[in-house]
Amino acid sequence: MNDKAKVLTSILVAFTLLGMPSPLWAARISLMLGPPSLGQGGANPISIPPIDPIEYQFSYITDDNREFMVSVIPGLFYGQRFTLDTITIGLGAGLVISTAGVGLGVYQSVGWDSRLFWKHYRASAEYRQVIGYTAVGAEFPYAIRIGVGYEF
Amino acid sequence: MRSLAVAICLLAFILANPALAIELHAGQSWFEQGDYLLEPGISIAAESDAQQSVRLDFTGRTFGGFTQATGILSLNLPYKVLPWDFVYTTYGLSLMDQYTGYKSPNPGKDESIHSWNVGLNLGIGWQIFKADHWDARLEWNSHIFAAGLAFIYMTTARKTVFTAAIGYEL
Repeated sequence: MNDKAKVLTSILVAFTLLGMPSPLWAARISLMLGPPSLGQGGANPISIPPIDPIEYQFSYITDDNREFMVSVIPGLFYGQRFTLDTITIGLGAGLVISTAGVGLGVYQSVGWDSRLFWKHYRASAEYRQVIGYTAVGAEFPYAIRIGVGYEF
Repeated sequence: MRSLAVAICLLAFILANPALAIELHAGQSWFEQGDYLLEPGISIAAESDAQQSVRLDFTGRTFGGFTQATGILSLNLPYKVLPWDFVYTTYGLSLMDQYTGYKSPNPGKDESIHSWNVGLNLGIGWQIFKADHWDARLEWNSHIFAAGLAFIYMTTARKTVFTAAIGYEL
């Protein structure tokens, strides 16, 4: 593992450990899938079968609607969600990961959640847009993803 | 130009209704079109007292014999979910016209094309100043378009428009 990969891995581990909330908090986890845009242009088609790691996003949402989001693209983010009916607006900041490297950024997201089914599950869809700054300057990755969440 | 004509017709329809209070906005916009560039443009909008608005964002440039222009006409509806009065979120429909023209040095060889697309828009805005009939605002709007039939594979295109505008309530 080269030096840059070691640094990035350390940042990932530190973010995960420092940001991991208490397991006693009532919370929800979700796994979502969809192709992000990285670099120039829009998103590429989703991989078939969907095994490309850049297409996945994992979120941990606390009972007061704070969100820790982990993905390869657009990165690692922490923010606040605001929910009305089935629509949620998210605002936050974090670490942008792109083909040009790592930087800092802010995001806005809008999502839809279904009603609960099978007691604990919700279907979700989300659009997330990031403004980030990396070694090449300003970048604007985005992703449209769908998935499922599990509520504790 | 057709987008501008449609925008003016919609604006006239809105203004013709005496029961509606209208606020007009105009300002500078910056288009991010997936190429790391922020292309300057203009933004004009008309907003009702119910915070429903019609907005036209336009950017264009000429380089050599080529002319490239993008116009986005959007209908924006408020979605009150944030706890602050001065920050607002909107959603709606967008109609985009991307024009590319080439002026050939050979007579009769000029070419041009209009590419139309319909999509959704999502935005967040910050009203940074308000006094009497005037206000100033900053907005971050994303317009998302399906990439033709490839949309079934979740392929999309996106235009991000940043706007700084001043408004006047009539």
